[in-house]
Amino acid sequence: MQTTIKSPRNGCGLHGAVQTVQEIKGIVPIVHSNSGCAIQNYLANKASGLANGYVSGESIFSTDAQERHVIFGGASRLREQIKNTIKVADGDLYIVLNSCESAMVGDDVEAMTRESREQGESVIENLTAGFHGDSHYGYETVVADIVKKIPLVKNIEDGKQDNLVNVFGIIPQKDIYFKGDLAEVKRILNGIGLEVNTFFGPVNGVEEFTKAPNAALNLVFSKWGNKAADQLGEQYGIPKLEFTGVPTGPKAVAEFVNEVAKKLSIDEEAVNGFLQNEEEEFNYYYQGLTDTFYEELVGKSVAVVGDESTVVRVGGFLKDYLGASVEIAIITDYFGAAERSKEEKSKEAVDLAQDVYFTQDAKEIQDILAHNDVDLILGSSLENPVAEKKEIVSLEISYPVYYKTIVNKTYAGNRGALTLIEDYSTAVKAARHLREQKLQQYIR
Amino acid sequence: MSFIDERKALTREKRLSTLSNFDSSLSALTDEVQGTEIKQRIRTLTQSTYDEILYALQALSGIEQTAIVVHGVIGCAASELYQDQKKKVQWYSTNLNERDTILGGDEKLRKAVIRAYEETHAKVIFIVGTPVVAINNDDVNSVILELEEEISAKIISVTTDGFKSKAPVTGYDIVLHSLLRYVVDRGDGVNSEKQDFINVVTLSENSENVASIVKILRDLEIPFHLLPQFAKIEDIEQAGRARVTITLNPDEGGYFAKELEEVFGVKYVKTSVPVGIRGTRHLIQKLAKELGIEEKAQRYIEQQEEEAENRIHKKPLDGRSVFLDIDLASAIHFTDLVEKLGGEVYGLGIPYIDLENRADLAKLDSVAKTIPVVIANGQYYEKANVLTKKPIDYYISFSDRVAFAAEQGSIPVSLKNTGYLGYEGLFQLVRRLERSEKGQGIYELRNTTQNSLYKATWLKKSSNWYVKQEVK
Repeated sequence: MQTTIKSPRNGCGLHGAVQTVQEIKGIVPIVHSNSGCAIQNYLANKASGLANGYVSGESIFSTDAQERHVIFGGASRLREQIKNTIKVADGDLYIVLNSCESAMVGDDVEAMTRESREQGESVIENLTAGFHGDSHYGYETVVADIVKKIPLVKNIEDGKQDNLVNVFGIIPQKDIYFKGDLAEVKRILNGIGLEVNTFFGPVNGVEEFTKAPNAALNLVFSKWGNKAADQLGEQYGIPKLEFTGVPTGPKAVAEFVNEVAKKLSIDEEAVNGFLQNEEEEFNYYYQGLTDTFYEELVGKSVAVVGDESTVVRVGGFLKDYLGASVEIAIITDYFGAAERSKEEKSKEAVDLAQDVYFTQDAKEIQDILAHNDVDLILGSSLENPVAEKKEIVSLEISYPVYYKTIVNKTYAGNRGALTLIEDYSTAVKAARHLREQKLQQYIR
Repeated sequence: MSFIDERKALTREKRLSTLSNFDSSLSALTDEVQGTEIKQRIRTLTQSTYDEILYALQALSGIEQTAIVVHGVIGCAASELYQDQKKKVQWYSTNLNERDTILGGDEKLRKAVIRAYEETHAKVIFIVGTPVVAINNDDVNSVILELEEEISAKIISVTTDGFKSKAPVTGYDIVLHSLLRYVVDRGDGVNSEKQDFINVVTLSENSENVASIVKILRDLEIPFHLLPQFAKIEDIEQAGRARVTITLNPDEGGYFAKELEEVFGVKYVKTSVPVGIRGTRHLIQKLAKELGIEEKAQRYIEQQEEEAENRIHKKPLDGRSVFLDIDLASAIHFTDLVEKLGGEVYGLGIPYIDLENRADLAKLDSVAKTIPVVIANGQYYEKANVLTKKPIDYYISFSDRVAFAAEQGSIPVSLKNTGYLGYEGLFQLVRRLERSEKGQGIYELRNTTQNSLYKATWLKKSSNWYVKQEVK
């Protein structure tokens, strides 16, 4: 495995924190860094056609640290910036995000936010510097920090709710369909009578964070959601259920719903009724594909590239419902010790695919794909060149995707699974068209 | 005085006393920038904006046959995705972690450069500096010296750091300086034999604008090399043998053009930014004179202007007030153009002013001296305040960040991907303006449940509340 990275697809810890909080309505981020740090992240996400958050890009408040702040320290500049941001920007919660410069210089960021809190202002901090990890790590730490520190600045209403759950691990921007995924998860849970804190989306996220301690259960949809869930578990004794990804297709939805229902002792009849309706609706559309299924879809070999949660659920669905053979799985969000076994890294991926790799290096990924024969590549736009070279079709399912606009599309749940069927079938048909053209050319 | 022997380019602040923070009227600005040095100001409230690293990366991404090693934390190379979608670039990140910030990242840099060379066979490998390596003082030059013997590509250090300049345009200077010092073939210096082509320096211009200028040059049968955008390494190596150099924006490419003139004897034909009929005519006439093709050029100009006059007679800005958020060099003819299209400039946003371009203020002759002027890179909280104070019909910007203006009641027009240079650019711009009113009202629909980011109390204050004199 390379220590350097060709065409990194994941930003740094600060980027993860920025792209997370900018999607939470009510939060105003204050980045303590040089002027371009947040813009790097903005440009990367812009290339991916992802709609902007509440405060993003050049509207993010930042200390725009200069040489003098690097030499003499930037704490007083941060103090000035916090004070003035509160006067100008309308927010329910202000969160200071740290950077490499500030961490290396040793600015006392905590002292500055504490000072503001002592004056009655809702200001907290996340000390993740860029070099502490990648953007998944940034998500993980900033959500955990909000959970941990929000009682310092907001009243937490006392009153456990048996029907309230928290959702963690669906990472804004990194999961290219995060908005649609969250909406579908919420729809499913509402369907069995639960209320849901998604924290992102059209709701006031800050308000939901203040309600989070009253939840009966934390639902974690990727390994990156554990830290926040564990924080709530530690502080308020809320148990968690962990899943590798959001459920896609009736089988996964049923497993997910039954597990949640069991944990919360939800009326079995209501759950079964909901699941039956869901399945009937799915089957109506799915069965309409029977001819296409046998003629075109079954038995295609695929390579799937992306974050573990995406690879496992998309690959799993294609295998179970469309007869695909997942030959290659490349997981791009693993940053633990390289020597650990594949099984330990991702049991689900190992169960799913013939060969499993862990890398985010574009060249390594291209080499793996170039040396394996598959019918289709499901990955990001960074995999398109190798697909073109191999003259096979690719379907973009993971970050980044170029020249697309994503609003609320999802592959989650049963409705999302139907969208995945549409996209996958279309890609398979495009592959057949390509093959037909080649054959025509050859014969003539 | 030539800078070519300096190890790196000076920041714009040191070289030209560049001012990036100011907010008052045009007449106050004119007074402010008199004298031998321009007093620096700061903002005590700032929003994220581009830094010189981003400008340098953008400039380098346009050069073919090269690879870029971003020596820093993984996030410092994040904007590759933005550049890559347009022009398939080869970037590597040294991926520094916490340990490297303590012990240094020299070994990772060495590996990244070798890897870049082996995988891309680039003719030139640029090592782009970032805040972490600047603070840590990593010895990039030692790595270069060591590797120069191992690999046949040129390895060039681009000495950006992200915090020494408030003017991101410094990033262009740093790149151009590196190209002049390490890539342009020195030959016989000023006596280098000249060949039949011209240099066209292009940095920030979008592809529509570059294509529009390319069309003019091709119509007039003038052989040219674009650089650094769209250049092959050979085009840059040969820059010292061109007949003349022109820049599409003198404030961005002038550094390169002047050095070429002084060191290599390539005449710098300084022209206006070719905006509108006047700006384009100025560029063609000055260039044609140098190349001895005045008559041919004049016939071409007359033919093109006749068509242009026909196309713009509808005056899409008729009776409308306009806030222009562009750069000063472009503003000279853009303000004229607004007037020609029936509008009136009520406000101006520019990223910087310095000792070199301050004379351009006097050329804004179609603009009232009392209009508000904001000097800022980004800082939209302040521009939102200005637009609230004086309702303005159109907010026209080179940036993609225009939606905030709709919140203040203006019609936003982003020219990020629209042409406005040369004749084709003019036609595109006019078409865009003719249709831009269709966007009016959409913001209200979209924003029914979302509150403004900026507090009403702020919008009532003076817009320059947070702009202060710098205390040294």
